[in-house]
Amino acid sequence: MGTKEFNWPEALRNDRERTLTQLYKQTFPMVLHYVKRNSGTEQDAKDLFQDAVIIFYEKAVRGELTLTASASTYLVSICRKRWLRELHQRSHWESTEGQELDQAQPPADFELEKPESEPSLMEYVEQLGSTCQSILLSFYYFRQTMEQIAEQHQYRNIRTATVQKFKCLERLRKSVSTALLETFYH
Amino acid sequence: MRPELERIQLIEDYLYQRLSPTQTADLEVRLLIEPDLYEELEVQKQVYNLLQARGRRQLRSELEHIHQRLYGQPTYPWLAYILVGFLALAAGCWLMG
Repeated sequence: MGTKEFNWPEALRNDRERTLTQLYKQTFPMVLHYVKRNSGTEQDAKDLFQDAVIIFYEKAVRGELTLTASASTYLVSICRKRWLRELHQRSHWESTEGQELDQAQPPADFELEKPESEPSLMEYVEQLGSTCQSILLSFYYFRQTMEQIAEQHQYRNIRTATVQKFKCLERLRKSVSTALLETFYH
Repeated sequence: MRPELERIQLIEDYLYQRLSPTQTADLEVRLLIEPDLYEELEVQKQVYNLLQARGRRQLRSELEHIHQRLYGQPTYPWLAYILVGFLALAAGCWLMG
């Protein structure tokens, strides 16, 4: 975005919806164009692009993002690499019907690492109720600051919000612990 | 904060590598001799993985929402109204006639 360094982590933390909408509007048409021209569908383009934005978000808020060009260029290049790989896998699949797809691909930095969590545990996050859920996701996933979280939930100060955060974490840990014990004994 | 919460915070600081070298060494010794603490740490790791997975799902649904708002069938409602209007008119004519 221009010559001046745009602070993506800050923009994403301050107003995720607006920042992502802007990025979406600016970049998705290019990805769509590229994928459609290379034997893909609109659905392919959407899945590809959304994965790329997730990679971008996670890297940005963790301070792992080094942009050498604009964010749009970065996203398009992730999508291009992944789409080429996808096409390669599809053609490979067709030409070696029934054979094992070769699994020995090294994970690259444009990949989404697989979620390590049991899908069955997801419901415990839901059961926390909306306040706890929002505090925990805002802090641990969206990496917002405690100041922002305290303000969003109208806590008097960071300290109160932090105590609340640990109470929520304690509740979640309790239910996960019980669930894990149950699977262990069955 | 009550002691249970302090303990959760300590484990978190350890996992996020926010402890000093001395504190880290202390905790690592405690982990060897306190099986309960070790177990709590293992569960807490799972909890952070779970929040990562759940957060990603949330982000994906927000992106889907943005997509729908930007590109989701904008001409549809309008076409549907015309179609319904037309059908109503046709049905009316048929009933009358």
